Amino acid sequence: MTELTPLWSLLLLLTCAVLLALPFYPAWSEWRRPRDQQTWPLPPQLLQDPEAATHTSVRLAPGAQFERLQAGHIVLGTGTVPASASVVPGEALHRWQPPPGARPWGVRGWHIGHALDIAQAEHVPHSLVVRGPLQVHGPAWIEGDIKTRDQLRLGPGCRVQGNLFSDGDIRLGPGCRVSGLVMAEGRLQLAPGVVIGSPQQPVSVCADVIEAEGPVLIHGSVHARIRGEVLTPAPVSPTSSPKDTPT
Amino acid sequence: MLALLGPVSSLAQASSSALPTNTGTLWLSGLLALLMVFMLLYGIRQIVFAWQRMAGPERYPYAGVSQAPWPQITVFVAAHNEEAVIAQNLQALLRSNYPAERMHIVVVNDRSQDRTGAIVDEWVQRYPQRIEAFHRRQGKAGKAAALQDAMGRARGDIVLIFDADYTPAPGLLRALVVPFLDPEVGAVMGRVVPRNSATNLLTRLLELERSAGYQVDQQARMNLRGAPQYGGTVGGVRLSALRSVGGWNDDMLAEDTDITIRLLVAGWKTVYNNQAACHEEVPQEWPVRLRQVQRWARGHHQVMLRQGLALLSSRHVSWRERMDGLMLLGIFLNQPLMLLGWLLVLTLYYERGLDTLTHWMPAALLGLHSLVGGFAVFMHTAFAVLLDGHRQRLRLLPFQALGFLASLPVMTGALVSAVRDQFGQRELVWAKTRRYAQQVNP
Repeated sequence: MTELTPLWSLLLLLTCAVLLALPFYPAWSEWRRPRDQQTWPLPPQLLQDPEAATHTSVRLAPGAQFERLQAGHIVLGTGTVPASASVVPGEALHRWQPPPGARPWGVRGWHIGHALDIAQAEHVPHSLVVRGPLQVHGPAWIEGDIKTRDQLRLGPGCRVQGNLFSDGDIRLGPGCRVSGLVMAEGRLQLAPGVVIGSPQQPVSVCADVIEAEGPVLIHGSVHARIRGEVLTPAPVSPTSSPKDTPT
Repeated sequence: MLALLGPVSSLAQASSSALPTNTGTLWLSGLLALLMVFMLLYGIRQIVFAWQRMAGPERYPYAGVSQAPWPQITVFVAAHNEEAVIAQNLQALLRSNYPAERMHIVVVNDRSQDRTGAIVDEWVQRYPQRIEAFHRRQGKAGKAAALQDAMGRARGDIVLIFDADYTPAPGLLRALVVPFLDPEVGAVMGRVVPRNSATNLLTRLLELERSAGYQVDQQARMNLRGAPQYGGTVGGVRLSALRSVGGWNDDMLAEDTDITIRLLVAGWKTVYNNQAACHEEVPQEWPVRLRQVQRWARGHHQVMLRQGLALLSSRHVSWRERMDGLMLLGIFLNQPLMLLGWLLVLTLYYERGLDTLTHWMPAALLGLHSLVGGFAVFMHTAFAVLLDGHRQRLRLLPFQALGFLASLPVMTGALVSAVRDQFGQRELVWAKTRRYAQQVNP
């Protein structure tokens, strides 16, 4: 210990005190003479009226790209969407039985902790939450909502009365009809003849990427977060079934 | 930093050879090392959240849903002596653009002793088809108990809950309902924004805190597929999910955290919507604020003691959700543990345990914590405020340390109370947060 030690200690103490106190100068000045104290404004979409479902029609030709669309009648692709290609409630269908290990979920749903396949001509009078991929071999009739953690594939002619949600991709096969909204965190592929929503109940369709193989009919709004595209149709094979081909 | 600490460590190690070591100091050093690791984990968590928000995309998969088959909902307004604010809340709810025929408002007037009941009755007379009064005159204290009693009045499976001092914007109800269309979602939470932030220093600091809590914390958990928290107001729950986990726990102080964790354990998701914002009134006086924090902390500890094990062992929870949920429950432990850490360091110093300290808890760990833990909380808030686009108010940041110091004893007391709650059978006393707004007539 030298004679200078107390001096150095004092200097260190002073330096530390100044460094500690320094940020309080602008803090004090902002407190006493505020420059930025206004209340944070609410997001504008909360203050506006919701976009009304219009009676207008929008038709996008093959090759068109889109991000947001809104109309009572949105046709993606050329041709006319068939009036009813999907399964009609009341047709001879087997009542679906939940697999072993499924848990009751919500009001009238089932929670399945693994991948699930639903066979053709099944009637599912429930909502389903599937923690894996789900494949429905159409035609089939699902009365409730569906949520999957992975890919969701609906085969040709499926009819869903609820909403569809997937943390991954969704593919709707030819002639599928969905009454509720459709939301995929990944890619949404729409085959020819898909109809989503109705004039009485417009709904939203959203996904990161939306690919429509037209003609696809949507009543309501479409939101492709990254990219939306109407694909150019592949040449029609002479052996295609009537359900696969728009009329 | 490590290079700077090297000589300190070597010096301590050199002195350790000269000092005797005993088992007690070894244990104390080990405990101190554990505390450091615990707090370091929280520092890392805050840094990860802050950078995720600053550099990563915002995940809200339901964005873009503007049209949907809107379900029947019930909006519960929790009111206990709310004569000053209840009218403006009802006024705001009636201005909502949610389809009126599918929306039912129930005011849960919980044992109010002021004019709340009379004001609510006036509104019910004017809008009998839309508003219902549930006057609760007896029963257990607390919001959870009141909500549990009122749940029978719900119509539909979706229940939204607002405290009486909130004034929801017209589009808020739709924004909160959209995620419920997903059958996996059990609860939804919106963002809370102070309305009276310009009042004084405390309200301005609380605005910074709310910004960090929602803009960074909640949204980062949403982005990282963790476990966003249902916050008890500006949000809602699915009634069937709530029933499946046993309803509201009427002896919990933090019924919102409790239901978040119980839903998570059962496999339900909670969704946070950063755009579904609503103005609230924050405390304007320090004693009111400290009582509020004390209630939150004690409630969190209660939930941790009761649900921690269930969360740890649930088969329906991903590892991310489990870790996030556990860290959420332990967040109010930081302050008491920091006090304990200071106490341990002093004890070790006076017990001549610094030699073992260097073996068990090298200076590097201490340095790392000072570097990470000390700055993480400021970075967390700074990034949130920048994301909100308010650069100037960041200058208030150093004052946050005052709030932290003020809450140290309060949070430590909350931990002691929660342990006593768990092992004793004490009845909970509900401390209502004071309101400051002027009364609005219908």
